Amino acid sequence: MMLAIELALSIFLITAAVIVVLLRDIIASIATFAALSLGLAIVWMVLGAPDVALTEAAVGAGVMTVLLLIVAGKTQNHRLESPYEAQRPFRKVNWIALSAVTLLLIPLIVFVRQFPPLGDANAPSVADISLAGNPTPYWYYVDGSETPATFENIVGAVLIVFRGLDTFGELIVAFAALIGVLIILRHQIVPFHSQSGLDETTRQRTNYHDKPQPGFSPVVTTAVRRVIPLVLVFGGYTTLYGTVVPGGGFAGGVILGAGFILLGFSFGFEALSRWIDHRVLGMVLLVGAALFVGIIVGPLLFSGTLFEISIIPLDPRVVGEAVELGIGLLVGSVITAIVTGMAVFSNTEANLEDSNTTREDA
Amino acid sequence: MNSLFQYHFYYVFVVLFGLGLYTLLDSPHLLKKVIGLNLVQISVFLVFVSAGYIDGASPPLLSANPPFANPLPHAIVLTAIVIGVGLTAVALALVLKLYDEFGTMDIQEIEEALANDE
Repeated sequence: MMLAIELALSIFLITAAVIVVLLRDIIASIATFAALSLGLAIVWMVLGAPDVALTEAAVGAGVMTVLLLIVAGKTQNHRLESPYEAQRPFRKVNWIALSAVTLLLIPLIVFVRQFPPLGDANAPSVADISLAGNPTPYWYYVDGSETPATFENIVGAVLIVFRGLDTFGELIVAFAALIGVLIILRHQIVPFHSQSGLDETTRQRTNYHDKPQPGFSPVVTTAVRRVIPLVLVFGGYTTLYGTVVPGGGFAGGVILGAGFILLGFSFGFEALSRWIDHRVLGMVLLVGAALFVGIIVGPLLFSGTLFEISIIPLDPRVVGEAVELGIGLLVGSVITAIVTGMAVFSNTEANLEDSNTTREDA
Repeated sequence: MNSLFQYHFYYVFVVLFGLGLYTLLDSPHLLKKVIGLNLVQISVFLVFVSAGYIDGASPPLLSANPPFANPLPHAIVLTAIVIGVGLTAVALALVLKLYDEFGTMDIQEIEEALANDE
């Protein structure tokens, strides 16, 4: 039964990937890619990785799709790939590239064949004792004796206690990505209020709760208005309870960010940037970073080492939740800021008109 | 044939990796190249999580029944997914910048414009 599900998922993934690659219409391609990510989230569930599945569902089907769609929307005259070909839905197969890739894949297949079979309980990575005769890291993580009592979710424990330095580096990379995007686009990120030419009073009088802007479907706005509170509550729950159930700062932060992006996507990022000031977003990011850094550096005050969070004389549950909350706030605000920055990007001169019509369509 | 059913996710990895690489080589459209990059990334995640799976394993929660799936690849993939968003975002920002500069999404047209400039 399990094998049948796994094989069906494998066939789905390969079919979806082939369609993504061959479709000429870039927006159809992005939609298929979102479906592929959702299928992948189910694969993670089948493989016993609910934490990864939560994150993948929010990122692959949510944030990534929105990012790609924003760029596709801003470049809409170039929606079709290689417009000089005859009108066909799929690209021609490039046999030279295909054979080159196939040649590269032969060593990869040989390499994959060296792996222990899927699900083998005696595979070196999950065996009781390594080839050298020591207990494997796997047992160190899963037997629970070294895990602080609050961390029932071992993935959370690995992320924060055992491999905390990796998580710290990862957050720095996420922050660097945000800075990178803002620097690359710096001359063209124009806040909406300076574009639209409305003065302060006119802006305040426009009530977006009652009257959806032209171009935004009432079906979408009504549905989103009902769904958004649930998304945000679920994001908060996933963040705080990441120490006990699957989830945690990364999954929860991405879900929170995806909630705000959904809001921006259905009501317009113009409205979103009015509801959430960019200074508030920056503040949330700083609070998240301060919480995380504060708690990993905190043990030094009590003559412990970095990341030895069990030494902090507070309820360990509170400490665990604070770290998760810090990660969640940081990841959520970085993702919201990246997508909003991308959405308020406006093309210079010649392309400006093009991008304005696109925003209304989005 | 038997080994096909013991390695299916690894073969899916090979196919997805190949398709991503093919897109990077073949497609002239910049957004399509970013999607190809993401396909390659997804395929690598598949290897990591598959390698951590044990038959009949439960998710790595101490409250569940052993055996547990290996939590270490899960933690790595979790962070890598978030890094992937950052990576894609920077790539897309560069794509937007290129479009702004050249008014096209076709890499061949951009190269021609660059060659004409010199």
